[in-house]
Amino acid sequence: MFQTLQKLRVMCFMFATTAERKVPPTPSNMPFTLNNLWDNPGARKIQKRWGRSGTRGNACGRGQRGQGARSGAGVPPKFEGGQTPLTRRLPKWGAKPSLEIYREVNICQIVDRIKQGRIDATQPIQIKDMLESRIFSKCKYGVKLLARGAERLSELNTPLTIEVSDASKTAIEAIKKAGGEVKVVYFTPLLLRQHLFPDKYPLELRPALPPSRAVEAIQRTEERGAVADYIKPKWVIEDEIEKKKLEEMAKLEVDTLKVQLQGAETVETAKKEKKKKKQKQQEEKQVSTLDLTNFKYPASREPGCGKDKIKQRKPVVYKKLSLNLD
Amino acid sequence: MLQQCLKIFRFSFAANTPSLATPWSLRPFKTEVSVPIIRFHDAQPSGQSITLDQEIFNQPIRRDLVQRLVRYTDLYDKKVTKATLALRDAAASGAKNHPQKKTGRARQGHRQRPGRNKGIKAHGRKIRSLRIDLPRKVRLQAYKVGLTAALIEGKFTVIDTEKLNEGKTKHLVQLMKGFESFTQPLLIVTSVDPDDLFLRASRNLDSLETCTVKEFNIIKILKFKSILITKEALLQLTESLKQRKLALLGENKIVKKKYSEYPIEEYDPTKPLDLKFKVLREYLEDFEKLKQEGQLDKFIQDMPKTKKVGRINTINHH
Repeated sequence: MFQTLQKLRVMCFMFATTAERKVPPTPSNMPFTLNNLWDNPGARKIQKRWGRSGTRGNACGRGQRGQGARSGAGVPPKFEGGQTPLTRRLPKWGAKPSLEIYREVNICQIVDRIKQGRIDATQPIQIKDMLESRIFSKCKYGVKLLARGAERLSELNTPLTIEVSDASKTAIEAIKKAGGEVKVVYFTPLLLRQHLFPDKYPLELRPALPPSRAVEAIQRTEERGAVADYIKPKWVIEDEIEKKKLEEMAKLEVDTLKVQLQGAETVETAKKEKKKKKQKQQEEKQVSTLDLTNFKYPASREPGCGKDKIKQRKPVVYKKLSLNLD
Repeated sequence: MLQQCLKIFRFSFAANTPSLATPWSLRPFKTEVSVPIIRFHDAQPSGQSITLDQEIFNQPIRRDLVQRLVRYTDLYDKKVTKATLALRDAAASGAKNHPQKKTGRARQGHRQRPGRNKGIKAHGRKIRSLRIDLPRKVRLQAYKVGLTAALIEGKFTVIDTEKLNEGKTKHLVQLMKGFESFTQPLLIVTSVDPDDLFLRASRNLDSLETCTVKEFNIIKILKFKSILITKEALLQLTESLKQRKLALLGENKIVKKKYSEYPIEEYDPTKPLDLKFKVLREYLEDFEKLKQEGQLDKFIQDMPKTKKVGRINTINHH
């Protein structure tokens, strides 16, 4: 039986194509010793070396003499013999996109790790948990959540709460369907590093106030349905207050006369305050005449006048650093 | 069609009996293997047995991975230590032999250039290491493949302990004769803390080698024809290989504490001081001596004083 099979194998090999010949070798019964080990055929190729036979002999493919035949030979690829090269003939233009982009994470990657037991679904999922479970190995700027594999959320029993720096619309909708929540957090690269490696930072850093461009990006995700948690600058707070006022005014059905009267009252009070200020300034000018009761002659500045003077130094106060080492 | 026929024959020809010729898609053992434990002083089996982990001792046999690991461990410690002289090492100055022009001779820059008699060798040997790279997962898998192959060939025998009552080589030689493999090269694998008496007795013998679990190598697995392992060593081996796999998956990370979480010892005036540095201890001894003798105040008064330069005395008003 074995011999017929071997003959069959050899016949098949002879009539096989090159693609079929690249079959791994048959396992053998030779004992496992240091002289009976070999790698798969085709794993290593013998190197063709310079100076040994054929086109690689004699001048070794470099021609005769000249700059190209020397050791360390060659010129850089943009060199054109002295003529101004193309990279310098043409002007610079344009801008490049920034390299500080977010890591992309799909929902199917998180679901796999929960099933393996590497992520705890009962607690909120942070960027630190994603790194420890090796969805990615490095994260410097943040994470964006995408919606590949959103149908698999039904296999889980618990709803998820995820904290990321950005998310797409379908991802937020899919997580909300299952009863979860998406939270947007703002990280600078330094704060992210403290979040991922807390043992390297003995002092806690202050949270950061995001710039206007980042705030607009966070507001866009809020419109998609996420919850935001970040320090709000002044112009955002003022915008929100104005929005609330407009909403309240629209709700209340106010007569136009009342509005005008209220406006007129405010204008009158403002005028009165201005008048009072002017009167005060005029009075102060009249009052500022010479009062010789509180007058003091300045000290004479003659040589030898400061010997008996007691010179007092300002007290030295060292700054106190607040180290939260409790 | 041809490939499908070959596949069927390959599957049907699989390991009814465990052999080294199993294909890559199958495991050699169908069930768990249990090995009997043998006593060291009798060379006879005790009634106990131990089951071997399937994820370590039942892996598909890959001869190419083992070859790669053997090459990696061979070249790990190897270096090229000899080097030829370069121009900066040559025993000649870097001066030009004669000026570039106005002599009737050819232009030359260095006395010991490569083409000349007594010149240095161009592009000669350099000091370098011969290490190569191999992925960590490949190293782990090849180690496990080597252990399964040794099991199939029947190299392993498990021992309860390696302890001896006396550290004499005579007694050890008599014990080894019971194992019938004394003439062949033999290896004994012990736990991380081996017995001192056993080491003393085994040091002078040529045909016997000992090593711990940390020094256990793929080269030693393939070199020796019979291997004795203690029960503790087997357990330590399985644990270390399991932790290696978990470390590759990213778990079992060593979490460092914050600086504030390390405990700080508060000062107890009742307890004596334990100082780390020698200089401070000498200062303490001198202090205590002077205190007992009652010459502390004198010592403080005789100490050299630093001058105080006041600001008022140095101002020049004129």
